[in-house]
Amino acid sequence: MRGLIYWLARSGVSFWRGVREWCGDAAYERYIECAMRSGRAEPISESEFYLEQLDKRYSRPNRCC
Amino acid sequence: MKKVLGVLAWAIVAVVGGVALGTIALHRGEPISATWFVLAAGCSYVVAYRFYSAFIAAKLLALDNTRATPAERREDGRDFVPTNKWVLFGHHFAAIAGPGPLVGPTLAAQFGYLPGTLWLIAGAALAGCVQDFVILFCSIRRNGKTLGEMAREEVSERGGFIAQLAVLAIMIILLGVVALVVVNALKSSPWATFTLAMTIPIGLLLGIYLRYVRPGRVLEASVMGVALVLFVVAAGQWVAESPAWAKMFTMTGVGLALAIIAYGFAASSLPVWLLLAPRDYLSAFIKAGAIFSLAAGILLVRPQVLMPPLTRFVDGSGPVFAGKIFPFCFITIACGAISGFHSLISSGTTPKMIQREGQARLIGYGAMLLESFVGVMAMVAACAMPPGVYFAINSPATIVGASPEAAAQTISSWGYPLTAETMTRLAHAVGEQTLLNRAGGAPSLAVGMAQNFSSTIGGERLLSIWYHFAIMFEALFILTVLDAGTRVGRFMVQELVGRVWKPLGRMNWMPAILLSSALIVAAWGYFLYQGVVDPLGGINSLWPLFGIANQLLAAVALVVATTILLKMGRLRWIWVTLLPMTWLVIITMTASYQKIFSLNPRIGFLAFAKLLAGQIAAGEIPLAKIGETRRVIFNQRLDAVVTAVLAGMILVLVIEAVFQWYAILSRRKVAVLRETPYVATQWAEGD
Repeated sequence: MRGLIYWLARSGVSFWRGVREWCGDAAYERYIECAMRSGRAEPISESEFYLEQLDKRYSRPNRCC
Repeated sequence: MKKVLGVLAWAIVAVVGGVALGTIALHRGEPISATWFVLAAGCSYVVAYRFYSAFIAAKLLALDNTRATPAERREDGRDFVPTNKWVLFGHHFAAIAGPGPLVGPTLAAQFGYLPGTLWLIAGAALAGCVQDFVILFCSIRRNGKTLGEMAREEVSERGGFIAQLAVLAIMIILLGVVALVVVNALKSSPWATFTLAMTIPIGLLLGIYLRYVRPGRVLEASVMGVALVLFVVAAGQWVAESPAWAKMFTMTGVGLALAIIAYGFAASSLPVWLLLAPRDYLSAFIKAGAIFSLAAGILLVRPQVLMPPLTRFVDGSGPVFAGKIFPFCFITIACGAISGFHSLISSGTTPKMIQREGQARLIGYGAMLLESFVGVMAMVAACAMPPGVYFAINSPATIVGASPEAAAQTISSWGYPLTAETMTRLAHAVGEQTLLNRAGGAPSLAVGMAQNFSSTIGGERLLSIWYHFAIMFEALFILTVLDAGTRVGRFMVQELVGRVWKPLGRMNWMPAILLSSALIVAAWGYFLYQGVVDPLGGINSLWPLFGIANQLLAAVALVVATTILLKMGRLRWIWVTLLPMTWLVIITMTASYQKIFSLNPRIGFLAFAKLLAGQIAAGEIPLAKIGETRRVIFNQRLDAVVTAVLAGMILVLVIEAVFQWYAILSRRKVAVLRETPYVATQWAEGD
């Protein structure tokens, strides 16, 4: 029983993480992680990042017929 | 032992799939259960994935998991982001799944269920999935380059230019056609028009929330948005029942066309965060829910398919669109089997996010199989309604008549029994004034989906809610393609006019934005208007034009893929891309020839123009209608020119590629492959 609960909890967490990644909620966290790791430049703010991503996404075909 | 069990399991899957395919192919006379379609498609897909895609991955592409992908080599958290394969599969599928696999099979159902279903299954496994998979692989090996860039580098400068032109052409025609589908779905329907109109303020609200209140919190904003959309779907019923409100939201085809043109212009010119992006998020969630529900509904209800395997319209005299099975079934099905547009997604963001080369198989080949399955479900939903009802909804008034009595008489005379009362009762049950002459596929698909949903939840009582939910889903989905496409088209136009005068190419200069938005909206708006005033319903001429443009792009993609494979020295397996490419060239050239030169005025653009010109000359057209008829004549000639240009582009590209292949094979030219050099992955196997 405990094993089943553990499995369910782990699957739930994985699913939730997947949904957040799929819809873009986790994109900024990923970016910050990457920026910290590379230490290349001062990371941009969450709001700037959101706008930058939108501008990029909608400047090339991103929805099919 | 394990191996024997594996072989046995796959043999069983193959036999079940074969029996199911045989059953739907040979069944005659009685209705057939939708279960056979699910089994035939499901088993064929898993066999194709397990064996054919594995063969392509191993022999043709030699996918290499030790090779670092662009996402690893260039990771920046912005464009190049290593992403879990299932998340990326979801992304890729959401991007490739548009209205095409829903509308195309619904229209092709006029031939009966058999030709469309067979092409959906075989076309996807042997052509569509192959194209998506190979182009994704090629782009991964080139740092995520686009199809146009690969065409320029690997085929020729001219090839790249043709690819760019093809993208713009397909975009313009596609946007005009899908907008026409929305117009025909909303025409004279206050409930549906109100629901869709309300998604604009909901989108604006979400846009402001995502920009200023909780930047980037897409999930919570979308949950709120979906709740609001469901509320307005239900509230639409009150609007339809109120005489004053119903009058306000009852619009003619021309009125709706102008409203959609204005919307497209606004969505393209306004900041992307305000309207376009939030509506896209809403659409993605509703799309995922509705497609899942459609499939689940069919699996649960397992409706009887009432449409015969082949109808009398295989002879080319169909009321939905004219033309024989070959080539028009293949042109009409379009995206459910193979779509050139997918190659833009496969060479867009996906190759920049993939973690391992081996995952290209699941994402490139697998996602297209799922899209094809959606097409089969749409085919089942359309064919599960009585054929008479299907033809009444999808045929133009000039062919079946505008009243229920006239439609019932004409359609019954074709051998598909229908009473006027059936149509009146059905329209009433779904909360519409009429369902007659609603060409475009969306309303009949909505009726099919609503009947399925209501059989699962709510029964007859909720039929009207389900119908309007389905219409809202289709229209929202299509408008998302329309506004995103208009914006991308605007960028392409700016890139072109920017060569003439530099400031016009500046993406943040308002006059340039407004001018280029107006140009692209005028281009697709013209096709939309032309479809709305077309006496044959517009879909008849515009959908084949869209199919030809889309398959042209697929031919471009397969030419690029074949050239790259040849340069890689894969001559032995070149048929994998060469055969689908040849087939596409044959069907697009045949369809183009027939659309231009057929002597049948319902097929040939020029023949129809000549017929109308003759009627004017003979004084058969009333004086008041002469101006309108001249416009239709001009439109038909314009369509003929557009088709000729598209066909000409295919020919130029194919000839160019054949010369290139000959030069490589005869060793007159050294094959230079523009792949990025091998870099070993730093990630462990399980990463």
